[in-house]
Amino acid sequence: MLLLTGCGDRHEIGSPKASDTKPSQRTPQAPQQATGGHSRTAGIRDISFDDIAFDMEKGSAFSRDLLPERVLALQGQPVRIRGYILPSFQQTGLTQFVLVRDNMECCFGPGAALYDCIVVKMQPGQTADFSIRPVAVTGVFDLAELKGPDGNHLAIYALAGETVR
Amino acid sequence: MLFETRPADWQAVAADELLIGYCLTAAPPVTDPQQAADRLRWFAHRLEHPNAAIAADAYAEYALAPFAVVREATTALDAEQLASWLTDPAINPQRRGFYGLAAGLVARQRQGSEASCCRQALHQALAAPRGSDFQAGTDGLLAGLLIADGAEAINNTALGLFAETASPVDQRHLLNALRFAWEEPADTMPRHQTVATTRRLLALPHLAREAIIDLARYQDWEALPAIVPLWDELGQDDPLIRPAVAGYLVACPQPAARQAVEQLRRRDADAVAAAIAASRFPLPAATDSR
Repeated sequence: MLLLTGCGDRHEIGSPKASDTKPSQRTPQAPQQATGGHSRTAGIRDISFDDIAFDMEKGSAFSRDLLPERVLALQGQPVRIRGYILPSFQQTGLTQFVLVRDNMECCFGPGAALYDCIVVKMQPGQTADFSIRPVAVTGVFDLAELKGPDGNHLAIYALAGETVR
Repeated sequence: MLFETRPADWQAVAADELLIGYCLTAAPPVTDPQQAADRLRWFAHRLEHPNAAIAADAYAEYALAPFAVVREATTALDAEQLASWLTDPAINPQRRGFYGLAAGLVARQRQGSEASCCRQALHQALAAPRGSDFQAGTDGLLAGLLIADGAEAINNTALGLFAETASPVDQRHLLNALRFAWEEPADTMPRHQTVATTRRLLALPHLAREAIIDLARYQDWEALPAIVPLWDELGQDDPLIRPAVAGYLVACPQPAARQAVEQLRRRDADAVAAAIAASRFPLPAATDSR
């Protein structure tokens, strides 16, 4: 649904994981090698923020050796992931935005784990429009550490965005 | 259906006759908006089905549906049933938001006792005793009130959203409800009212950043005189404020915005440059890094 009703059961609040979509809504898929629960449509791998999470103590420094193999394996892969566009200054024509797991409505202000956000830069000629609804973004996943002026990490994941729906 | 999905995507679900019958009788997805509303109405009577799998599936149908389809399908919702769900502590709290929206739609679309019972239930739900500061779905309840009664409804809730004792969490729920109102003005309130109410959030330090960003997105450039002073008033203590102010000024096409940037640059060019750079990615993790 349009509004997040808390950090509880996300399957019930309008941002279901791709693997949780109703069977009748899944796109017919070409035969593919089993990927342990991830669906794949025409070479695009459906993932969720759960798939790119990893153990990291809050407030601790990031290093690449924290990343599990399943995350490293996604580097350079075309994926589709659902999330929320973090509100920014533009309504339409977004060439870049931050995709987050949820709209953090449950949180007491800004703040999220590094693995809960992806910096999306749209491919040339492609743009996105902001919406409070969850969106599905397709694109090539990558590791791209973004640091602030103080040297702390602001983000570690990037997506070269192709479509936003 | 079974042969369209890969075995790796199958999930085994224990099914009784009820669930099997539900799966066999549920209509397949459609693309025509009117047909979609007709289809969604079928699920309305199963939202709180005693079979948890059926109830979850019916709810998921509403969760995935465009709001316009939900609006059209509201005719299938029973006003008294909705009102009881809103005030029933046994109902899954995660559903309060949607039921609040639905109650608002019923209050707006219908007359007499049906409308009044939904309005009353919305207010009762907001006034209900709470076990913690965070109440799931409060944003949906507030949005429901906006649908039912417009901007003035915000001033009449038990939450006292702009009182000194207001809960910051509830105020954040209000922010979310206002964002919904912006996207659905025809169902809630005119956008100038959304803008006016969002401007009120500038006075709340914990929400000023979000309000500035939202006002830029709403292209409310008349808010500039209220936003620029926040660079000093809040920006000294909150490192997220100055990027928000800078982002607003960069987005604003008016000469006053250019002048404001230049004035700030004359005072501290490095700070302005850093703020503008930071405004390009309003990252949630920025707080953790400071």
